[in-house]
Amino acid sequence: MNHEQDTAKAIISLLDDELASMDANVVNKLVTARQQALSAMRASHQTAMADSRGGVLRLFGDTISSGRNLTIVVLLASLAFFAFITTQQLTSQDVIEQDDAFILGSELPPEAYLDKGFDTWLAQDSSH
Amino acid sequence: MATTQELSDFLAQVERRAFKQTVYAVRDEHAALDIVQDAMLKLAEKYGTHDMGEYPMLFQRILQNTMKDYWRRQKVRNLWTTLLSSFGGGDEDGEERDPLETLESDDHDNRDEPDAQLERKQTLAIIETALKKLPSRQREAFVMRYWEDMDVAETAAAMGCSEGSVKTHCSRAVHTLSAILEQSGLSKQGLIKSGAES
Repeated sequence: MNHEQDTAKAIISLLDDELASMDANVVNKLVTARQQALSAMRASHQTAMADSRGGVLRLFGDTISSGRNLTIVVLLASLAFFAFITTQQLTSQDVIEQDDAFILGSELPPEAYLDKGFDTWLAQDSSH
Repeated sequence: MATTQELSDFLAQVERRAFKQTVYAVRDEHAALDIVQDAMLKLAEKYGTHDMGEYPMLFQRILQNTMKDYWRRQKVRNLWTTLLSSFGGGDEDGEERDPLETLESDDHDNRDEPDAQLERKQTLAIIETALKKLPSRQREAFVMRYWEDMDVAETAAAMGCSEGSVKTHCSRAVHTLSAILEQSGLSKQGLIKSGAES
């Protein structure tokens, strides 16, 4: 085991020695690659920061957007309610008008319909 | 959470070894540079904010995965090249350079240096060739364990295997390297002596 490690260390020592005399062109390319990687890290970091800031803004945006949606829903509901009330009023007006026309067009005077004993009298009269 | 400076220090410390390690694996310096650059970018973009202690394991894992991606792409490219070349003639201009030729030419550049340096250079060339010949898992384990100085647990985590497998891979790698070096006329004692001199 020790002999194995000695052999490995000797090999590694020679390989390390060679690294120091590596071709300058390759070394320059490696330095450039490292700089690019570091730039990428900085860019990635900035993007992450912008995303987190954007997250807060997005939250506000969402709130604003949901508020706007709520306003639209309230407006539509109000419109529907207004239409319903108007329809109801118009319908009830029609009924009143029809009732008035019926009373005025009837042979009996309007007071007859207000007299509570009239129906009883009418029933007795028809039974005779 | 690590700072940009800490990441810079870490990358400066490992970049050369990572490059050599990748060259041993893919046997192409240009591809190795691309792979190391990709691995650096991935580490910085995705794990830059992690704890600095996690960097060695994360970087090795990313590097290994990037190498695997490269091999997959190469496999597909080779398949298409084979298919297309069967329709057309051979393109001699597109032949890839043999890394061993590059290694030889590097050696020729140093012919004016003193004998000791030349001898060490030759020893190194033999070691590098031996490392390239190692099975990929053995090479990964050897490099991480002995060159990157990662412990068995970290190496196992980076390789995605058990600690026992790491020990086995390391042991086999050292034995295989020793055998190859002996075949090349480099004894263990000579190797240890060369290592001590450097």
